[in-house]
Amino acid sequence: MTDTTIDRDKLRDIYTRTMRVARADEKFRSLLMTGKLAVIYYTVRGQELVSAAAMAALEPSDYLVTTYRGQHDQIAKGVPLNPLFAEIAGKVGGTCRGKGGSMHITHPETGVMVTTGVVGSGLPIANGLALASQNRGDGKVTMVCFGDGATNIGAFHEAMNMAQLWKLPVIFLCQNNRYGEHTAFADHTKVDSIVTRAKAYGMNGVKVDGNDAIAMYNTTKAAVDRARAGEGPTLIEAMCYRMMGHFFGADFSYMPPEHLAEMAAEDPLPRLRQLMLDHQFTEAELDAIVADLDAQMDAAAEFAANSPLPGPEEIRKDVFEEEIAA
Amino acid sequence: MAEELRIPKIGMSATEMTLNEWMFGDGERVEVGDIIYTVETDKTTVEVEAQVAGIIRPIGVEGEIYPVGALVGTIE
Amino acid sequence: MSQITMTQAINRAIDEAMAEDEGVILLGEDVAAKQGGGVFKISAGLTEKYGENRVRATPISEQAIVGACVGAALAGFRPIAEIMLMNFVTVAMDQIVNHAAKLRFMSGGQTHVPMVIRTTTGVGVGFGGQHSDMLEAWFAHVAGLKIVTPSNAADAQGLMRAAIACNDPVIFIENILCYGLKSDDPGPNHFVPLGKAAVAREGSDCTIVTYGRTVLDALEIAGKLADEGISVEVIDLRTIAPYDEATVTASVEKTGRAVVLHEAVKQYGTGAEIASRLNEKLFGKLKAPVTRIGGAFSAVPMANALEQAWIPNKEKIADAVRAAVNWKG
Repeated sequence: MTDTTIDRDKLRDIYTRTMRVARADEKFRSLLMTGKLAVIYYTVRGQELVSAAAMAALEPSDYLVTTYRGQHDQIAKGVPLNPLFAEIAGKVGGTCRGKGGSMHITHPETGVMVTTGVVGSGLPIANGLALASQNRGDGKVTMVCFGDGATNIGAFHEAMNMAQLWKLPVIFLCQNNRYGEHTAFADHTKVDSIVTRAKAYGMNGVKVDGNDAIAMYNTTKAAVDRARAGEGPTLIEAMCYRMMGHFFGADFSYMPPEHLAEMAAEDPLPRLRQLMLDHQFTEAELDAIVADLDAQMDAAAEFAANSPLPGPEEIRKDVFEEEIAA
Repeated sequence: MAEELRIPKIGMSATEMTLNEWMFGDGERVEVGDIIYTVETDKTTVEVEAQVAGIIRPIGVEGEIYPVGALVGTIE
Repeated sequence: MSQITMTQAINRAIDEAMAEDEGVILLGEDVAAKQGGGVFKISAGLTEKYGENRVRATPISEQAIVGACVGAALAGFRPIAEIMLMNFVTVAMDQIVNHAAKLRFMSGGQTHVPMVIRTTTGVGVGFGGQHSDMLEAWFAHVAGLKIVTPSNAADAQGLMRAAIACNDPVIFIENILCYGLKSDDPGPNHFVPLGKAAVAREGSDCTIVTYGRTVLDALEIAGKLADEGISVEVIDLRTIAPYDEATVTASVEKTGRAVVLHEAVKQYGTGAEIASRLNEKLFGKLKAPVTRIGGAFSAVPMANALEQAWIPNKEKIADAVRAAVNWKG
């Protein structure tokens, strides 16, 4: 039975992480809207809370593998904003010196080891990180995030089987946002729930409302504790919504009106705000958190704008350990 | 300082798009979140919202095609 | 002097590396003691020494095998993936090409992937079209991968040690027909640096640039042509990519003639790259056009008669050298 209570500090932590994701996304869309930034951008609107609650259950040293639609995961895990903004802008001050971009954010200091641009590819890699932890006995847990669309690629199935076979300390977090690119869940998958696939591998599987902060946190925490105790992997299916198109500016008229209405009603941001008020946080307290975050966003955008562009010599660096001769 | 309005990058492939329509005239006041103009690619029409409040000064011409990044107006 | 086979040499190199560093682990189908230490017995005895956590027999899941090695490498391990046969790397291409090869670059050098993919292949054993291909050109085309293949047991040991120690992903290609080859025992802790070719035989009239099993053919032909008064130099690349351009260029500058030989299909092969670079560097100094010899442009056939017709045969190699030496323009 999943715990239904939560500690107030943890709730504040989840709120701050959620709003950091939300305000960063808002800032990016603003920069894109005015043409200050002209890059491909995958908005995470609607999935702020699911990853904030999940990452709040991890230690900073735990590993994370995510996808090109994983900016919420990276920010919630703790990637600092200045290099994140600069990386998305393709600047030298970015996490990857502008060589990865939004689709390949990497920041080992906060455990963000891989952001893959290929759907499903993160799962086998997560197993390897977890395998290293298992052999070392370092107690770290690896979380890999992906969407419902990733569960139909072979890598998902190979990785699930291997993880359970070796009882790896890994958590497969499927953020089921009900769309794989432009294709609705029912049009790409015949089972009702992704979590039923855990059974096929003898794996622990849990389905949770990803927009319920307490349930999401407690479900993840239970999976993390289990993995850390050597009891093996868990597949979590967290239900959520992708509230905008696949990428910035994309048409999403293919989403039926009843889905859009359902989505609006389930918006995690007002829901979390209400939960905070129910837990005796004041409006002023919450507003102060957001105001502080907004100042950080402005500073990050400024940092990114002022960071220099990478020079052409970067092409010869990091191909191999030794630089390639000019 | 005036906020520049530049043609946004929309989608995977569009490098230029048509400025469809200005929703406000020169000198009118806009608020944050107002739809100030629309652009159209071969795939979709996008409503561009004001990110700051102020007096709008359109430069771009309705029906003209502009590259991504082109300056089409300001908000003072 | 005592001798060592290529199988023993590779096993020894892995054994030494595992003894030295707990981060060296081996993943692959059937590699553990319970399954007999691998189809070609390369990992025989390693489970007994290092345990099943470090010698992990995997399900038949090439993506998961290579992916797990990528992840473990990111965490600071030096994993070795055994992909039983080279054609099966096709199943794991995403992990190799999009991840192992590129993560160092895309992370701006924050992470790197020190892993080895061991794989075997070879024409001449009747395995047919899906168990015999030499696919090194595909990987040579991807920035970030190093490709190595030994032609003798001592080099196999030394190159494997260097591959495991390398901080970048290395594809280590073994040839089924070479496992039984014997060398003088190079002794423990033998390293052959990556990126360094060997002059397998010195000569003055024509250079054969080759690697892997065809080095043996080239040496045999060189011996035969010496009787005809043609002096052949044989370069064994050892590292196919990035290859030792300085050694190759110096040799061809000296002989003025070159034949590039490989078992892989000739079309779009690594021979095209080497011939082209020789042309760019030595155009005015060449006494004959650089030519290429490789496998036929078809799937590798099963029937021995066809397989022998497919493979670059020794007479063809000798003729190519004679043609270069007799080139009149």
